[in-house]
Amino acid sequence: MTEDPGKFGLVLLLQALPGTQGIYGLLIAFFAILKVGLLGGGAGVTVNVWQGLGIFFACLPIAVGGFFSAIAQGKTSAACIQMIAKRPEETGKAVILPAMVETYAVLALLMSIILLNGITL
Amino acid sequence: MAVARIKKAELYVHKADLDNVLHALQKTGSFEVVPFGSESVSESTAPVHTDLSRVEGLLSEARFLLRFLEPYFKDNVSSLARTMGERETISLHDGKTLEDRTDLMSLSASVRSLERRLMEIRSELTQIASTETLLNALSDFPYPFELLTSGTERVRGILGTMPVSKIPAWREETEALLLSMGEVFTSTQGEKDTEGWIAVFFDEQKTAQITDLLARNSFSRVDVPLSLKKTPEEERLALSDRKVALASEEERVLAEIAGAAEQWVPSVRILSDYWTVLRDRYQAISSGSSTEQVIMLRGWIPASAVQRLTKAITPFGLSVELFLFDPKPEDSPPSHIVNSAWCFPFENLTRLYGAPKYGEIDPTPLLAPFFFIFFGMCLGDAGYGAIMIGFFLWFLRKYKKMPESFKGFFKLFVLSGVSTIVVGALTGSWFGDLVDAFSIFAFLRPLKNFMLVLNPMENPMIFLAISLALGILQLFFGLFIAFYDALRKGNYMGAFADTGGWIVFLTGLLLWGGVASGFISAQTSFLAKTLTFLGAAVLIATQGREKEGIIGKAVSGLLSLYSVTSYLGDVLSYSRLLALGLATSAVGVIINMLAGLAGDVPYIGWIIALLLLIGGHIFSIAVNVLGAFVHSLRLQYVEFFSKFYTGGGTVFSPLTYKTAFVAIKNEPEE
Repeated sequence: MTEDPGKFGLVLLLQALPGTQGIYGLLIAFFAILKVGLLGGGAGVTVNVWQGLGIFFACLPIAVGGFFSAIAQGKTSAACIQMIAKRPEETGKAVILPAMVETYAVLALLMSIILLNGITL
Repeated sequence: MAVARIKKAELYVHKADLDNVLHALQKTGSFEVVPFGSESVSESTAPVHTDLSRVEGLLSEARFLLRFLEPYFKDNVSSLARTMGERETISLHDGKTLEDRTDLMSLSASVRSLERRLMEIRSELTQIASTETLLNALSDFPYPFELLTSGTERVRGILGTMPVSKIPAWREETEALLLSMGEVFTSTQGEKDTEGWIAVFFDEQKTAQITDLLARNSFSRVDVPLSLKKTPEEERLALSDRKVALASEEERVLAEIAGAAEQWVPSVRILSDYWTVLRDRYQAISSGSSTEQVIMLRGWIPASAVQRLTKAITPFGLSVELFLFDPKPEDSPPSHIVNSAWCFPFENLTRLYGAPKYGEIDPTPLLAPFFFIFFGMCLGDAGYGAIMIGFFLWFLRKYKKMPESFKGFFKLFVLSGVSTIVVGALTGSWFGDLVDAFSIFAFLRPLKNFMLVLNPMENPMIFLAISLALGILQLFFGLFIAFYDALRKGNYMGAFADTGGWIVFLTGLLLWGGVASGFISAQTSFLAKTLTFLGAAVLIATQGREKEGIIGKAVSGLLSLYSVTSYLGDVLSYSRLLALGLATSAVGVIINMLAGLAGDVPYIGWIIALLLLIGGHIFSIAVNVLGAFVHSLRLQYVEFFSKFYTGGGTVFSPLTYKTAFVAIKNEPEE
């Protein structure tokens, strides 16, 4: 970046990749809020302890998976930013590599969605 | 739709016609010069073009000029636009004329002197700034600096800093030592200062005692610049005059540089490109070989371009001779990828991974349909797809002259947008649930519901099944390609034992699974089991064939069955199609919901709602397009390519016009 400000766009892209876990987390949070009816001013659904625990555990996959994969992906992205500093022509590969790590966040997201869907209130 | 056939070429050129022939080669742009192999006929040193060193010299001057002047140049074409092909078109003839007209050497000499002057001014300004800090600290220093810098015949002076706590004691001691034969100065200190400025003037003969005393009190000496002579106040005035003078000179030099930039950058850019073209051309022969009268070049020509090249060199008649050979197995020709229009946009994806080796399969048309569908499923929102199409079509129209590879990329996104709209319409996702969330869109609901086939929010398991089924389809497709490829190369063991074994085994397992879960009628149960055991038997029998001894073979054959987990993992990896698709619509839903909530705020609610809708959806498009692209690409690279494709080829890069600022047009022959 210091030497070639023109790479801002690429660096931004790589920086955004590990950020998606945050969005996934937000997504599940919203799913959970919607589930118990806290949004929209309507009457909240009464949730018993077991259902509450169920929702809590349904949120865990993306919480744990997102947290650790985001850290790992951040490291990958940082390495890839250095890579495009040296060899800008390899940008394509640099964008793909962090996405390998993201797989686990996506899988965790999927699990959380499916689990939340499975809880009947 | 594949890697094109390449011919190995040897070109003999008489030196008299060398330049014209090289020009013709560069113009055709279909001859890649390769270094002469070690088996070269004569060990003569590589030929060097007589003009090369001149052009290289000029080119480095031009690069210096551009590097120095460009920051001062106001460009009316943005660099983005230039990358997108908005370039002035010149002919090489124009370049030549410009070269004759421009005295680049004297221009660069004058620019260099400007650069030097600017550096001098700036370094003097920094120096002044540091002297000023010193002077400010010594504002109550009553002596002229001359006493410190040169002293008088018998008086010496020392200036420096000392910890505040030690100053009073030191002062007493020094005064006792010097009596009337010297003077001591201590600056006034602020309350927070830990170091104070002190100076002492003394008889030369007392030097030893004074320095000893200073040293014991943690004194650190500060040398005053020799240029300082008078008292701080007078010096400060002089410096500020100098600063004003320097600043105005700097301004003048900068204006001069800006003027030079304004006047010269455009032509230097053209010249830089012109010389780059010449240099490439001249360097081509450096990798050839020469005799007294003849230069010999070796290289690659795509079979399809042979005719064009022959035509281009015919005018030179007898002074040129071209020989063509088929590449031998030990050669490693570059790959020239040629794809038909429908899958050309996807070629970039192949290149991103690495071009196929010569003679290998070009995976572009094979991955194209999968990427198309996968992108649609990952993004999966018709509204977002429409915006993508609109944006990239606009971009394509705005920069009509962009290079083919860029054009391919933008077309790829347009196509992906199409597939996104289709998937979005089928799953009823238009900017999330915009149509259902706001009553003003109520009139669109019947239309949306008419196209809706399956709502993944309500039936995620069906969508998951579709995703995995697509995954199984693509994996089998990959295996079949590997099977075909092995057959094509005559590797029957690889075809039937490795790939064939897996195909049979996996088909059997799938059928078995289908029967067990009741999706397929029980009558196929026998077939399923037969296939499974047959496949497994083939694998166990063959996968250990490189191991020693019958037991080693059997064990590693058996262990190879364990790879079935990797196939399972590959299939499960396709579940991301569902997850990303859901994520996109869910983000959209959340944005709409927030906007809906904001809309309830009295009076200004609708403004907030509108801002949230627009900003939120733009953000969501950006993030999700990135995700969809990267993940559908990953499925190609990791899951699909691992079955049959390695890449690792070198891309055909012919001698042609490689320019940064202008486009070279082919002029009619002079």
